Amino acid sequence: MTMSDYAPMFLAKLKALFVQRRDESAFDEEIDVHLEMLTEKYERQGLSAPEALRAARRQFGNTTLLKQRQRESRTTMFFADTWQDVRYGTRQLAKTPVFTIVCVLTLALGVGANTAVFSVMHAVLIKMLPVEDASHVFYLHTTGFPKNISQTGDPATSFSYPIYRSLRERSDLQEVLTFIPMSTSGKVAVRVGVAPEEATGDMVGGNYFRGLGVGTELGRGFTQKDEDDHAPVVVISESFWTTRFARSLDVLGKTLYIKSIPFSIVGVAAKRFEGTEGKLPVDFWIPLQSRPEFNAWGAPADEGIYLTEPRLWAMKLMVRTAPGVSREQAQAQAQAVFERAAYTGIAPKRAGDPTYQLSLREAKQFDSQDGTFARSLRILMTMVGLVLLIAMCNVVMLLMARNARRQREFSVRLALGAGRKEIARQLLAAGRTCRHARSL
Amino acid sequence: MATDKSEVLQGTLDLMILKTLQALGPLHGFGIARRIEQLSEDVLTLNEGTVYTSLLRLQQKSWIGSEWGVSDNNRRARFYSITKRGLKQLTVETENWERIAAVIGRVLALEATN
Repeated sequence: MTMSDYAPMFLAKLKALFVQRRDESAFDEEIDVHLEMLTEKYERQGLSAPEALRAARRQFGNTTLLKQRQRESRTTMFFADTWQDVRYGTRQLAKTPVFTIVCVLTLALGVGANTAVFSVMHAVLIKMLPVEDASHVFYLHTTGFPKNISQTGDPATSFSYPIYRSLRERSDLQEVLTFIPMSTSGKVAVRVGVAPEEATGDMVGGNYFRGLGVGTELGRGFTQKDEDDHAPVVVISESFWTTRFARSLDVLGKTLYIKSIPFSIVGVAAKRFEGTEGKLPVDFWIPLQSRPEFNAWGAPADEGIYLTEPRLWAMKLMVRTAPGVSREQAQAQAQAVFERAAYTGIAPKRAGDPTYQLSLREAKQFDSQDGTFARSLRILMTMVGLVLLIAMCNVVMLLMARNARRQREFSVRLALGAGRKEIARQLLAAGRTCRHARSL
Repeated sequence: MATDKSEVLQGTLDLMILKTLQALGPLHGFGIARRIEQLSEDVLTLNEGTVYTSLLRLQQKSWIGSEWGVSDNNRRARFYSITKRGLKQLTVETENWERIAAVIGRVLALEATN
């Protein structure tokens, strides 16, 4: 058979799997008609009816065998055999429930732990933010800050308003985006109707959604005017929209009270976008606000507002680099602007003070502050990997012990004519069934 | 083993069926069996059931097609006909057969002269 004949052959067999029953009855009919015609032929030649029938049967051959052969060659016997093995394996496992349960649980534990840790690892170390062209978006980090300033307790990611403005106005970065948590926990009191609740919110620049390339499900994102006017408008997340507004289409224009101040809902952010805070999914975003009760991180206003107090470093920054500009080039440009802006409005840099270095960090789902979190995750992953290995060893030993006990049974089956291949295949099928039970 | 023998027979049967369908047009299984019986003049004893095994094999290779129709004596019957692929295959197999037959013929002739 040439190569080109395998394709129609396989397709025919595959098709036959599904139309098997119909095919079989059609084939039975075909054989019956043939036999009838053959019988008639013999009757015409002068045989009596029973004789003719016998002669026809003799001439035709063994119909049962033929039907069986027909079935075998019509479908690939492989499927039927596999199914048989699976059933056999299931029966074997059902006969020894304790063994089965132990195996299934051991494997389930090992695999479950691995899956859980891997999903966390994926989210933290690998997954990028769901923004447009994430490879050009970076978190901005600094190695330090001048003396006498107050910041958020997160020294690497805190910047002052003058730095934000300077980077936006004087650098060649395509976009400089800011986002500020509403409180140290991220959560603030909000109210949709009458019932107060807590929600996670960020104050962001007017270019936040446009700069990240995050669209909206409904309504609009922010504009520069929203930022300049500190407009009382709010964009909510898709999940907040789902849980609090049941995805109602007339959510736009409704009022969300944040710290008792009314904000008008103007948009619903694109699905899957949950802000840039990493650990905490953000429920809503408002433009940068100037009211004292909306000071950055919910800080008391008596030490100054983040917008006007250059000694308060409280803004988190992200940048989008222009196309064709490398990360290093962008970093160097930003560094020059940063060095000047860092001392705007505060005591100038003194001789001997270190120069603080900016760095651009990839826009992963989680802003990697430093390697410790990642490192501990990797250790955890290794550990659960070992757990899985131990679990598998356990199961293997259990299976081996059991098969050793079944030596006698195997001898009998070999003696009865089972091929070694068949026995191995059946054992494999039993193992497979065990694994599938676990994954259920 | 018995399968070795039938393997040879199957191959030849396939070729005979293809040729029959090419020469006579659409036929049902009974018709094909009659035709082969007629031509073989009782030299070949054919289990007619094997015709169907062969027909299925040919169909799976897309060398023949089939559709249901009504036979001469008003019975529902499946009529087989040769496909384009089948015609191509028939040419190939015929040449093949002739080549082998020629070789065997030569070999046998050689033995006779010695």
